[in-house]
Amino acid sequence: MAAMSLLLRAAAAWGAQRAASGAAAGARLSWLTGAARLPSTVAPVRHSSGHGKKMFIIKPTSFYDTRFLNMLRFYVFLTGIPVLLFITYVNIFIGEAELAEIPEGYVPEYWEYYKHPISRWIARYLLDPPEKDYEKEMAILHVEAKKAEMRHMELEARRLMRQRGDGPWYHYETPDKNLVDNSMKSTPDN
Amino acid sequence: PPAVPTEWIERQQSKNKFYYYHQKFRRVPYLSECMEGDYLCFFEAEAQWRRGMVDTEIVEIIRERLRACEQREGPNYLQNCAKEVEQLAQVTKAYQDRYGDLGVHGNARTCLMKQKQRMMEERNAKAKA
Repeated sequence: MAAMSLLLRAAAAWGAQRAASGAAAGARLSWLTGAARLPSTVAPVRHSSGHGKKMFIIKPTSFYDTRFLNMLRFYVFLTGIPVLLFITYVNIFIGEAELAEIPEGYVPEYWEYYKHPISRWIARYLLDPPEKDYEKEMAILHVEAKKAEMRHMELEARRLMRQRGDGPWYHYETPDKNLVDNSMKSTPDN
Repeated sequence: PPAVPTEWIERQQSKNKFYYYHQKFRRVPYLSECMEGDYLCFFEAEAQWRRGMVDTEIVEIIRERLRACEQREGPNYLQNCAKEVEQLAQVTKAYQDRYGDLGVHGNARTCLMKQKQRMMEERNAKAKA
């Protein structure tokens, strides 16, 4: 909204320039004119040194817009300027690394593969070595692969036990047939 | 005279020099040499494939060269930049053949399948001819 009002104000100033050259159009949109004065040829006035009669322009308030833009500028520059100064200092006085061949028998540290000094610093002190990330990811994959294999084997065992019926699953304990008392069924006329 | 004193900057920067290196990775088995279900092997092969897929940058560089040539020549770029145009055509054709329509979800496996398709087509064309 503040930017919109800036745009409107810019358009109004442009319109005011055109209106000042052709003074007859000024009467129509008098509140839009950016300049607070009429040219001296329209209304000659004492003590204005050729700048014309000073007008009181009635327009909507720009207080909130200017306050917002001021606050925006202030808070952006509050941290922005120190950051920019720091980055400029690093670029000028420390400078970027040079590309070199890996010397014989030397294993570079993992942060020595970056060019800019700030990237090197971040890689060295804030981030983990990429080898560690790689190994962590492989460890996760290994565990998940083992789990998937175990689940697959369990499903296979279940299927086979249900099919063949010779395993500990998928059968219910029944009492021993020697315990069954057949005396009730042993004679036909009971 | 440059607005920024380059020699002074270089003097400041040369006080403590440091270097950066080009990382060399060990070769791991390709995706076609991995056992089925060996997810770790898949992961390493995929990482190697992704590290080796520099064709995008190659295309960018050749394109930049063509644009620089066009800027240099001005109105007679059609005539004098024929070499760069030829190079760009070759490189884009190579890229399209290898990584062309894999899409955003393309991985080492889809690329391998595409290569297999290409080899089969080549074999069929040779058998027909």
